[in-house]
Amino acid sequence: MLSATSEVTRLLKRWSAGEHRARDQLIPLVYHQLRQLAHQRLRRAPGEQRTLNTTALVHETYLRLVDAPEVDLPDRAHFLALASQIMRNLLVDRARARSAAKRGGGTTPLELDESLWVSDEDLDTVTELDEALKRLGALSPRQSQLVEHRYFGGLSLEESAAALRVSPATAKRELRAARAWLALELRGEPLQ
Amino acid sequence: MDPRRWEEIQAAFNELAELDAAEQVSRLAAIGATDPELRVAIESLLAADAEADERLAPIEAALLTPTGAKHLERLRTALAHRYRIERELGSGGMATVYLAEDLKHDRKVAVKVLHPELAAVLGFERFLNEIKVTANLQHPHILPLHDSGEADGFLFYVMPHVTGESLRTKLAREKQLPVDEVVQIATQVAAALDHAHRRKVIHRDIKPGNILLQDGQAVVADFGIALAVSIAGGTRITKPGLSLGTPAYMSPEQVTGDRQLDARSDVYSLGAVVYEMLAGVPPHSGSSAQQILMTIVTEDAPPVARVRKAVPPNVVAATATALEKLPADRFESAKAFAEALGDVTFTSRRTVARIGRGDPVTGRGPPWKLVSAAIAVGLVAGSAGWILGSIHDIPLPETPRRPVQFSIESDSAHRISPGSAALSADGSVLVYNVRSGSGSMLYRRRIGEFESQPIAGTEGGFDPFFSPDGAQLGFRAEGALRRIRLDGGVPRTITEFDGILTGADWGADDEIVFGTREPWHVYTVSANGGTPEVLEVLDRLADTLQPAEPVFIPGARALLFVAWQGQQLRVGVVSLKSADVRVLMPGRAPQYVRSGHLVYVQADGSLVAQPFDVAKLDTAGPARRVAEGVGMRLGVMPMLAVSSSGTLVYTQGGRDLVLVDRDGNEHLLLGDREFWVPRFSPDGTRIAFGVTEGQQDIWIHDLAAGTTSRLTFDGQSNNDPVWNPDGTSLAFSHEPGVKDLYILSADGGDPHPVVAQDGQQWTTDWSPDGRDLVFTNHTFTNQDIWVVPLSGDGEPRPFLATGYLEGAGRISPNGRWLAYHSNESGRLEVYVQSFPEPGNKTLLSSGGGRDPIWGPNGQELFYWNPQGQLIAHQLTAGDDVTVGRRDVLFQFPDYLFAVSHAQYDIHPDGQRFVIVRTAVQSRLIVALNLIDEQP
Repeated sequence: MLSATSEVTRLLKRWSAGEHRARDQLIPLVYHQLRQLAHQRLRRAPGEQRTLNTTALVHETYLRLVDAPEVDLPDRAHFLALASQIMRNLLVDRARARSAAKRGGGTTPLELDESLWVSDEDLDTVTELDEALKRLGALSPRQSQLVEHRYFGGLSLEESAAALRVSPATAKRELRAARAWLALELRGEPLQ
Repeated sequence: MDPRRWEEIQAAFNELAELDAAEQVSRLAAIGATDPELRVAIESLLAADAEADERLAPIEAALLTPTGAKHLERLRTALAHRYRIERELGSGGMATVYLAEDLKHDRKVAVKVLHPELAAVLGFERFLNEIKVTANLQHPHILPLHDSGEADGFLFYVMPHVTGESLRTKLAREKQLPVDEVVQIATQVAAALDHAHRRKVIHRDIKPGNILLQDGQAVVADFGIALAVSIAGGTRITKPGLSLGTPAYMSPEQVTGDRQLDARSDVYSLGAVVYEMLAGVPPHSGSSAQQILMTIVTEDAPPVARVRKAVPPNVVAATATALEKLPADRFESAKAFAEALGDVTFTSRRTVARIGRGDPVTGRGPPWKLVSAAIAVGLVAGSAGWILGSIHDIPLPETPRRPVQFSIESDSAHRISPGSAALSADGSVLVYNVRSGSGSMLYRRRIGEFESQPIAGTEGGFDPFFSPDGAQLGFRAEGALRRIRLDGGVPRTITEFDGILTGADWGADDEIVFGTREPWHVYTVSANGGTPEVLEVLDRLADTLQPAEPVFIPGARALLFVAWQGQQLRVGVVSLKSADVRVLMPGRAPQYVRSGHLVYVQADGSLVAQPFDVAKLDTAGPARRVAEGVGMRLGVMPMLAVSSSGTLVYTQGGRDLVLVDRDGNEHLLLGDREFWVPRFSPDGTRIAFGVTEGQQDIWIHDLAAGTTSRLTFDGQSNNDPVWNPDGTSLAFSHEPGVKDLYILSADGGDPHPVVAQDGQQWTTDWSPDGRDLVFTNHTFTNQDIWVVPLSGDGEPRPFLATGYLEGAGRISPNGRWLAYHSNESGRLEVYVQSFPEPGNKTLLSSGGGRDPIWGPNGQELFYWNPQGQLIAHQLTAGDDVTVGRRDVLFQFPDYLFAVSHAQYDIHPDGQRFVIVRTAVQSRLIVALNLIDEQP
């Protein structure tokens, strides 16, 4: 675990320094950790009212993979932002697998057992949010990311701002508009 | 809208959002004068901004609300009248320990609270009763039990607070202890054990963490807790995610799931603790719990003297005797162990090396059934088990080949899907597909190592198969069959291939065979590339046979295949020499194993081994059942991989439909399909339910006749059946596109539509007067309860439609009340409200509830609490609702909590329930040496 931790920390620093390949190397590591945690967490509470609790998952992934004292805010923010993106992919994947499973699936190799860890309601929510974020991303990629950070990673405004290299004031303003936009989408009355 | 316009709108929105209402109005007017559309957009955004929190609440509820955060607070409140919780002292496998003030006795105590996931599967009363038995133990080296109980779902017990440290802490610091101290501690613990054993209490979880040291005295904690948990949990305790016992200190008989443990199991565990105190490490270690458990069963620990020369011979011998694999070879009692530790003349009684085998079981008896129900460990741990099948009647090789089964808990780094997996011929390497957000990849894992490595170059790879020497892999990826070295590299294309692969295999002389479906062909191609050739002999029969999943029979110039004859799948064999084709027996996933058996899976999920004559290409004896409950993906594809050496890897099961009486006794009705929403017919003779097998269909099971028949055949998805009051028709959700509400005669025929509207309609009840249907309208963000009259205008109307989730509506037998669940309080609770007009509302559940159903007399309402307990709530629902007592009927944690549907129903006699039980799917079972060298 120690070596994996320092490996992730090193990759994170290289990525922060502008080396994009390091990000690609990080993704599978973060992915596996997230998925493992998600699985454990969500299975551990049989019958409890579950939430995906993306915040805890992403932050615990961070604690497990990164040597915290070695890392400053921008690096941490980058990590959390990446993790929230992966969290989103992971959940959207689940939603697809589930709906494929329900419809018979064709040739998609389904892992039905895996889909157990997320409820249908939550998956529907995830799918809808994902679709809305894609539309928002077409208007403003940064705003889409702000929302992604918030819901799929529980990033604070400061962390999100640092990850996107904007001031917290800008992040706050843009998030507010994005939320209002999203509220209209969810109400089924998208902005014309 | 384009991004620039959005920027413009946003800028104006941001500006206006900071203004007060009056200023907003005047700015909007100014904007509207030049750009009316902009004004409308800003107004919408401002309105949405005001309600954004509320509108986004479902997302936050699904994604963000932490469940654990309020845990401590809830616990504090629950115990406030007796204990003031100060802080957490530590957390172990079964419980978290808190330091608390005992308010009544004004003293410090340790309150141990069982982990919620453990408490959730325990029968509370049984646990508390069991634990009281051990409360009577009074001994200077046993930590007494002050109190125990249940509060707000927490199961807790209270012990004195020991100010010293645990042996665990001491060992962490000092590693090895002086021999005198070891003997002293062991003697005191042995005295405690002996005291308990003479009162028939077995500790079952002796480990350094349970031995507390205070003022130089050892005190044993948690006496009988493991047993109480095990008894109160029954078979559920084998659920993954729960861990009983601590692997390094478990006795072999604990590992193999023997429930009849006696004092000698504790002797073993104490032996392991003594060993660690001397050697600094436990007798068996490994990088994973599975490995530890395997070695506990199969290997002797290195003698202590090898690790630490200065240990006196009698102590070495005593420790080794305590650690004997067979209970009969150990000390009879803890006291005898302690005496041997103190007796310098003690020498080992062990003179001859044992041949590792236990009591032989006759070959005729029960089939070689895998242990699985009795496995004692879950969590990160899998389990190892002994199967003492047919060992005694074969010549013992130098190292006896014990059939061993263990399970891999797929919580570990990667999820394994053995439906798309392969084992090397010698059974030593498993290759399987892992899917991820960015695609998929093949991973390899050595059996016994439990660490997986990605195989570089297999991106997008599925359906792996090994070369005969196990050094190379074939797989399907991106429209081609490819090959690659097992340790990765650059893949080579064997052949381009564009279609659905049913299976592939790599035979001798680098010949590869593969099957495609629609059209159904079997091809051969050289592993070195080239043009695939259709296997003519099968192709002539392709229309009737639909041959699939070809595999070689090693050394026989013959193939096994699966014939898809309609719904019936059969195992077939074709000789490549004589071109003989023979369809043998119903089955799927056939494989020939070196022991001379044909191994295949039957439709009911049982795995069968049948002697097979390679020369005659025919069976040579009766089939024997080797394992049961092989999971079927999508109802037809066994989740199984078999090596020609006979190693099996498989996962278990789908869902079951079970009948459960009011005491919680289960009776399996139908097994291993993806069941949904069972409903008893009004006369109680039949059960209607949904089954997902590809699409969903409604089936009816006749209880008296024991027959099950399918009601819908239209190729659409049909689910959520609800009987009409006289049992002649069913309302259900019908899905061409989205789910709408239809009605169908119980004898079959064409369904007719009742409601088609936005979202999905899930039928939940039919009114007793037959006039109305109640259904849940489900959209992405909301669920509401609707009612549709079956006469008059037939216009559906919302009954309860709020921003909260409401659903699972069920009408009382007198037709005047609707029970349902709603999350308006922040979590799902069960309510009763007047019907058909909503109004007078009563909250029934407390601490969460869902999926209410009425008892047939209308004086009981059943629902589930978040702990997986079925609650029976007494009530009268006439002009008003008066609630009475609330009882827990039974604990059923495997109830399928799904969407917002009751996945259970009560029989009209009020005494039985039919429940959808989810089977454990996440455990991967590896069975070695199961099919042995004799037909």
